[in-house]
Amino acid sequence: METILSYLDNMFLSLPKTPETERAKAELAAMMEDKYNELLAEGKRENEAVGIVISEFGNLEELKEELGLEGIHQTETAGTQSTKRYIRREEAEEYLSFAGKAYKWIALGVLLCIWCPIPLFVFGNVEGISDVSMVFLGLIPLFVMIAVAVGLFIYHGIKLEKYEFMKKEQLKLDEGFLRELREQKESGTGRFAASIIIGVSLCIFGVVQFLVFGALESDDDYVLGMSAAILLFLVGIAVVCFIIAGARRECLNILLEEGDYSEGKKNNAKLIDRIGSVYWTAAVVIYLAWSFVTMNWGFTWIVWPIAGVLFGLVAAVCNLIKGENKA
Amino acid sequence: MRTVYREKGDDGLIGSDVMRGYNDLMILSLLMEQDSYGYEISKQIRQICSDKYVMKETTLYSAFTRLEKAGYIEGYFGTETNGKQRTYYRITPEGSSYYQEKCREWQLVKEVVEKFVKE
Repeated sequence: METILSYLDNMFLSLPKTPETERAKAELAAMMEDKYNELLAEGKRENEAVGIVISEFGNLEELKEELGLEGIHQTETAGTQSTKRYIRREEAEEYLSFAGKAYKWIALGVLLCIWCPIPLFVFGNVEGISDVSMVFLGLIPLFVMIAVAVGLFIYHGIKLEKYEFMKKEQLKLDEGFLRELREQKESGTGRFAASIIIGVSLCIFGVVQFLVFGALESDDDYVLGMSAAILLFLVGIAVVCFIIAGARRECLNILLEEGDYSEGKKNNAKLIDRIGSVYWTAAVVIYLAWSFVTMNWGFTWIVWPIAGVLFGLVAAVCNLIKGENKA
Repeated sequence: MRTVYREKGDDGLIGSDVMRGYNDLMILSLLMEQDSYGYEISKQIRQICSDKYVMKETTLYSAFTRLEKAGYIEGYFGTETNGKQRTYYRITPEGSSYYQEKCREWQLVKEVVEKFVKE
C-alpha cells in the first residue's frame, strides 16, 4: 500500500496544495486502498495488486479542469491570496447542530441572569421578613443562578471557540449544500420573524404592566416588587426567543457568508482587529499614564467614552478606505 | 489474469475517450438504485459490463466533482458496517432528470450511429 500512496504523492507533486486537491487526493487514496484490499482478498500477490491499482489509476490531466486549478492560479498571481477554507458538509452539519445546542444553553444562562433578582423582588417587600430569611430566599438563589449562568457561558463559550475561524476565514462549501442552506434560511424566515414578534410583544407587555402598576399602586412596595418580577420574567423569556431564533440564523449566515459575514466584511474585520489591538493598548497606556501623573482618577475615566466613540470613527474610516480601494 | 486496459478498442475493451460522455450516465444510474461510494461504483460498473470497461479512478473522481458541482449528486460522510468512513454519494432530483435526459440522448446517438454500422 505504501507504494500506491507514494505513487499518488508523486502524481500530486505538480499540483498546488488547495483544499480541493487535498480532498481529491484523499478520495483517490481511499478508492485505491479499497481496490487494493479487494485484490489481496481475491488472492493476488502484493506487487501484482499494486501494479493493477496503478495501471487503472488514470491520469491527473482530466482532474485538473474539474478541480478548478486554473482559476486558483489566477487569483494567486493577482496577489489577493484568497485561499478559501473548504468546509465539508459533515463539518458544517456538525457545526450547526453543535452551535444550536450551545446557544440553547447560553440562552438558559442569560435567562438565569435576567431572572436572578426575581426572588429579591418577590420576598424583599413582604411585611416583616427577617434579614436571615432574606438571605436564604433572595440572595442565595441570586448568587446560585449567576454562578450557574457563568459556568454555562464559560463552558459553551470555550466549546464554540473551535468554530471561531468560520466567522473570520473565507469559506468554501459544496454548491448543492449551499443551496440547501439557503433554502433552510429561507424557510426559517417565518419562524425567525414569529420569534422576534413574540419577544417584542412580551417586552412591551412587561413594560406596560409595570408602568400601569407603577401609576396605580405607586405607594405599595409589594405590588411594585411583584410587578418588577413579572417584568423580568417576561423579558427573560423574550430574550431567550431572540437568542435562539437569532443563533440559528447567525449560524446559517456564517456558513453562507451573508449579512455580517460577507467576504468584504470579513476582510475588514481582520484589518479592524489589527488596528484595534494597537488602538486599545494605546488607550490603556494613555489612561494609566495620565491618571498616575495627575492622580486625578475621578476625571481620567473620560478617556474611555472618548476612545469608544473615536474607535467607531476609525472603523468607519477603515470601511471607507477599503471600499474605495475595491472600486 | 486481469486484462490491462488500453485506449484502443481492438481487444474487445472500450477506450476511455469513447465513453467520455456516458460516464455520468453510468454513475447516475447506479446511484438511482442506492447511495454508494467510489470503489463500490467502479466495481459495479466493471461487473455489469463484465470487464469490458474499467473506469479509471481519476475519471470516476472527476465525474463526482463535476456532478456534485452541477448539483446532480451530493456527497456525505458515511460509515460502513466495518467502521471505515467514506464519502458516499446520493442522487438529487436534478440528477434524476439529468439522467433521463442523458438516456434520451443516448437513444438518439445509438439510432444515428447504427445507420452507419455495417457488419
